[in-house]
Amino acid sequence: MTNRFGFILIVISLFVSATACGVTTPTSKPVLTLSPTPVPVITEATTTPSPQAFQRTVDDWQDWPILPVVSENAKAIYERGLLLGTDPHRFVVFGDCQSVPNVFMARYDQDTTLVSQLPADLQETIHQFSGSFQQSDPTVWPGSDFASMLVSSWIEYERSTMTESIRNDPSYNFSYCKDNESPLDCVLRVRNPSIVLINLGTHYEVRNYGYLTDMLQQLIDHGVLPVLAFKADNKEGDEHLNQEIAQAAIQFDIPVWNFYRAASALPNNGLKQAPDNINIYLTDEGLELHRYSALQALDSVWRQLTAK
Amino acid sequence: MKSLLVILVCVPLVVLAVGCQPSQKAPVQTMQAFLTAFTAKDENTLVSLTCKEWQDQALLEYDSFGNVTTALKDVSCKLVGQTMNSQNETVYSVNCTGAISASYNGELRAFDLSKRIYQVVDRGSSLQVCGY
Repeated sequence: MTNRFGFILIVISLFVSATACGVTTPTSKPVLTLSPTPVPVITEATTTPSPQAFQRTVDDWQDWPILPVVSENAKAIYERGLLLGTDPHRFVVFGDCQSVPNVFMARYDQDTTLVSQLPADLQETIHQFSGSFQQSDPTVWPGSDFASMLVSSWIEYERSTMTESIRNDPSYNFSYCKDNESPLDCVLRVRNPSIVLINLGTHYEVRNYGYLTDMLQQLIDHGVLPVLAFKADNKEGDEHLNQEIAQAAIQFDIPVWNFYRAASALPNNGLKQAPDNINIYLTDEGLELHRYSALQALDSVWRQLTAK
Repeated sequence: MKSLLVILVCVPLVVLAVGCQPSQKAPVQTMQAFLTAFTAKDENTLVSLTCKEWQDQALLEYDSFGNVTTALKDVSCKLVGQTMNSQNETVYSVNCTGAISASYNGELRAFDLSKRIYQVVDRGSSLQVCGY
């Protein structure tokens, strides 16, 4: 009896010790011409349809107007923001390498000759948002995606450059951002914009849509009007990213700048031909159109928001 | 015979009691495995090493680096503290030196890890990274 009891105890204890310590190791194209000055002229862009003039659906995103249409809801977001203290003279860009100020719109703050050649209404818009075009922000960085806007480690990453010239450039060390502050939180606190132009989407992840909607909700909660943009490329192959952007624009009832449609007037959608056929970088002509069309979009949004 | 029985019963129980305490190395190994999965873009392993309650944040960080080429550079981790949380779980504090090197379009960066103290929690059947 004693031997049998002992045997059972031994077997049980050995079994327990063997199993309990599971080791875990861890359609129709717009007409575009280039004038003698570097100012593209987009024929379609002369008018902006009223919000009642068309019903947006995801399926026809390619046919949405180039210039954003501002709904009553978008106006309400903007006006609520002004009451909360957002700056009507400040807009901010969320973007990747093709939105870096020197590539994108900095020249509207820097090149007085160029600005003097622009139509008077655009000059007025540049004056309204003076300083916003050339500002460097942690929300614009090569390789950025929607997720990058929401995590503090992305600012740490941006600050960690090993290129001495960039590391020593005060415009790129973002010392004004606090530790544990996301790029989005930092620019909202420091820049206090009333409008954010979201020029992202080329880089993406499977959880893209969730990050996009989180970002939009945070902006709207702060009274900042997000303006989305359709990208010119189809890196993903099935155009689902522009469709997601369209879906989010409908869900939140916010404006969209249809750069895809503007770029369709250029050869290869204004994109350089890459050896691997993954065309994402704009040609010089594409960059020029990108810059000018963005200014027109900003002008259109601002005028609709402030129209009596 | 009785003393032999006592030995045979007690030895495995002692082994059980000592062996189930994560060694000093286990939290460090978990942390290094987490960082390796992060830089190797191994989402399944990353998720398996992450607390459920910190998973969304870990994946957000993981996704934000999705378009950047990443690798570990001279990474070495060590245990710097140990406490109990309100669920009576052991929480290990792990600090790592070295960096995550990252490059995009030829631009090289080194993301310094030394500023972070990661929390590695003993969840009974496994150790999981639960934040920093």
